[in-house]
Amino acid sequence: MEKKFDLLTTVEYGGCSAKLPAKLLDTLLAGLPATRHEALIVGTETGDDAAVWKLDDETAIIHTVDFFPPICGDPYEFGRIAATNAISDIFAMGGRPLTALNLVSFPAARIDLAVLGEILRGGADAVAEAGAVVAGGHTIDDFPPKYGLAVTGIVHPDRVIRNCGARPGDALILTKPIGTGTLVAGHRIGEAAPEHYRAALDTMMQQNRRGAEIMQEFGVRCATDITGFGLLGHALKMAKGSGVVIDIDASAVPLLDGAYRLTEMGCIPGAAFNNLKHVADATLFAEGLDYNLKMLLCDPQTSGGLLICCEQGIAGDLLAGFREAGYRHATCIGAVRSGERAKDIFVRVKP
Amino acid sequence: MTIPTIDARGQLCPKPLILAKKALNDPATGPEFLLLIDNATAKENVERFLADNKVPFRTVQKGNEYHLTVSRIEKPVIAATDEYCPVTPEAARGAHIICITGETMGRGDEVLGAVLMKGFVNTIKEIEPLPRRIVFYNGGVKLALDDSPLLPALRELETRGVELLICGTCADFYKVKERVAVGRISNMYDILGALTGASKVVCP
Repeated sequence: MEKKFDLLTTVEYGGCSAKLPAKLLDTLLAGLPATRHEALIVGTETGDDAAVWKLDDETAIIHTVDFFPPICGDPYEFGRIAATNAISDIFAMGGRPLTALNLVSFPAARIDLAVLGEILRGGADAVAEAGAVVAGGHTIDDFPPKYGLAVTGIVHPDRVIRNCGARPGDALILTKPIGTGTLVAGHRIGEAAPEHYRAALDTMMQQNRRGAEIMQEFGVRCATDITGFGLLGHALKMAKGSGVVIDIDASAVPLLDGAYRLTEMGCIPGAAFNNLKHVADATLFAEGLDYNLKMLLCDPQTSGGLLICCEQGIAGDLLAGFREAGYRHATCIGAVRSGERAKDIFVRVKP
Repeated sequence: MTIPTIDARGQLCPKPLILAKKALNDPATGPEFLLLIDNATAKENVERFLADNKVPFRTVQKGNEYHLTVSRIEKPVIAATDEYCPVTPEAARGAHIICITGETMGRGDEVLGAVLMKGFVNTIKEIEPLPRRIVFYNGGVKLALDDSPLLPALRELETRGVELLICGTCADFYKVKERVAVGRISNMYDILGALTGASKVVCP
């Protein structure tokens, strides 16, 4: 196999996230019949991370699926990141993954099959690290390559962590720094410092497994993981679903090293503009908020951290737990307020 | 006279935006420049960036190419724009902090103390520079509740960029956390950080 095969040469827009814009998706899904069933504890209503189906009083099953085209050059790391990102939805619901199925699009005639072998090896390592097993998969001959997983997990029905349980007075915690979209875009045009890009890859490969376990230890009931819609997009879903206002202190949001400098240069992924458009109507940006910071809060994340709403009283212990578990940048980035005061505004961002 | 041309054709997103921003920030560019882009997504992103930052431009499509004529304003506005934020302009904020530790100002008669506190809080906005933060603890948290007569004044301060920190332990103790209607519920770590980081602490 070509040792140096660069997967990023297969995608035209490395910096522009592959997810369909949230606004389009909302319109599209609104036209489909609602899915309701008494056993479906979490369906499509609040755009949560995964579907949850109650089997009995002790067990609910979690389903999720996620795949995308290459976001980095190295096949093994791409596999590992894509799998980590897919499994993360199980962790964001407070669950434990059991089985994973590989989802693969790969052009067998155009790229050495050994590249796919590396992608799958990266995926398998991530699945093992998550405590689950690869139980099968599905492959399509297609270009450019895409990879991801369908994952099944379990959780106690009373301990499901949703994206709609935020209460006024809660603290807002983020476990990983943001800026992966910007750093990947910056790397692609040769502007990201190698050590900064390396740190972005590492953060994307860091699992939310311990994060989920710690949330359960502390009885957290509201969280989501940050992915393609950016910090603000996911915070907005959470605020709308919970009927509250989320205040974000922009200066407290942890950023990956190098992300701010790239944004200042104008290295802003296209998806960040889509994300901004999606949140703009329901978000109040305070006067004086730095434009670069605003765009970073919209930066599309891959395999991002957990965004958690918890009682103020446990926030300190929770943060200490996260930091001890290796989420060095975990920090409190804001607070939850009553939603009655501003009807159309769900997120407020302070400088 | 011909204007400088930035050729971003064949460049992947977000390179055209980087080139545009570089030209905008470079005084040598002159009052106007022409940006050539041959990619619809990149064009759209550059246009959104320019619009967001209130940079005047016009776009002409020529076949598969987009020619953007961009005016270089002397100081690109890189802050949030009015459409996002319909609030009064931020006044200059000082580096001092005000500490409100009870419902009354000074010691002595409680009725007088409450009147004084009301006058004090309502006057904060008149004095420049505004404080950087106001910290509420112990009985002071009651001034931030939903029935507080000082809410309008505190909200105005908040929209003008003054950060209001409400002691969470205190709100819990008085069992009023659900009723906190302004500011951010905070912890001792943040409050101590705010106090020690301030150049001056004002306690009524």
